[in-house]
Amino acid sequence: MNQQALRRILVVDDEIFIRDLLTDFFSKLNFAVTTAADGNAGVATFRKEQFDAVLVDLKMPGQSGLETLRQIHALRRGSPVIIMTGYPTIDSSIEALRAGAYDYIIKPFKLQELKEVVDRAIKEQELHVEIDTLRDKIATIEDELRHYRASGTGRTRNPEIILNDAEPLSALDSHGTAQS
Amino acid sequence: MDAKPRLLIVDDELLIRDLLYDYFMTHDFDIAVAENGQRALSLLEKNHYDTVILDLKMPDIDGLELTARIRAKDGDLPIILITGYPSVESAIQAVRWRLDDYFVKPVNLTHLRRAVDTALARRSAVGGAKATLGEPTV
Repeated sequence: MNQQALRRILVVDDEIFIRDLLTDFFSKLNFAVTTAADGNAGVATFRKEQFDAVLVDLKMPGQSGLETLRQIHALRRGSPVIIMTGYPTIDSSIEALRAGAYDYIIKPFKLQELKEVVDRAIKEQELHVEIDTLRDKIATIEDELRHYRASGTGRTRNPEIILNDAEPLSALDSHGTAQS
Repeated sequence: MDAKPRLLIVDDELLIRDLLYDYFMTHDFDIAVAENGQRALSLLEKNHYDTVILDLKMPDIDGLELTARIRAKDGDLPIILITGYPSVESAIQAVRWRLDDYFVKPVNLTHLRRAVDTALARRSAVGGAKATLGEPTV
């Protein structure tokens, strides 16, 4: 993974002070930061662009942070969403857990700690994507093998799959098992 | 999966263990109970479970500490926390540990069962993918 790749984050907070603070801080760390002042605008922005992580304030006028999180996950399941709040409660933290928040951060927070959470979220997301890609690849290879064995052509449609073409097909039984 | 789902219930209160045992038994679960964290760990060492219901406050090992030890061995095992002493701190830890749910006692059993069903569905989705990775089925 290219360490220099620009990481994109979306900050959704009704307080301009927080939006500016996070924009300044993360921009200096080579993040591309986009901001939205409410949940609706945040979801609309998320719908149009790709982000590696989203920071959402819990308490905003209009749509709440948890509703914003649910809508973001409806658009892209598993996308890391970090909830931030100056008013932590047991109920909202349990709701954040149920909605699949990546973390729940209490304001005021240390910027360095927030950066570590964002870094970890992006790293985990990259690993998940890598695992999904590998699973897809394995599924494709399995399909190709099934096709190969069923068709008996000795050729797969996928050039990445290397099969021993030198093996005479007559040496395979009906299940595709090599006969000695 | 046609076998009954296997549930491990960990709580130091006998009343809660009995209550959950009876309830899940009537809903066709295969259940084991543990009265403390050490007993839970030793059961987990020897047996396979599909979901763990865990009390937060126990005399020997705290539920979150137990979560850490369980997750070190099986990162995907569904864990549902129940507690009579909820706090923002423990709920935040539950978010960070990706626990499947967090319930405050007295627990609504229907809601708890729904959470177990959701956790089982998640586990079987992850397990299915793992099986594909481990053993190509051609």
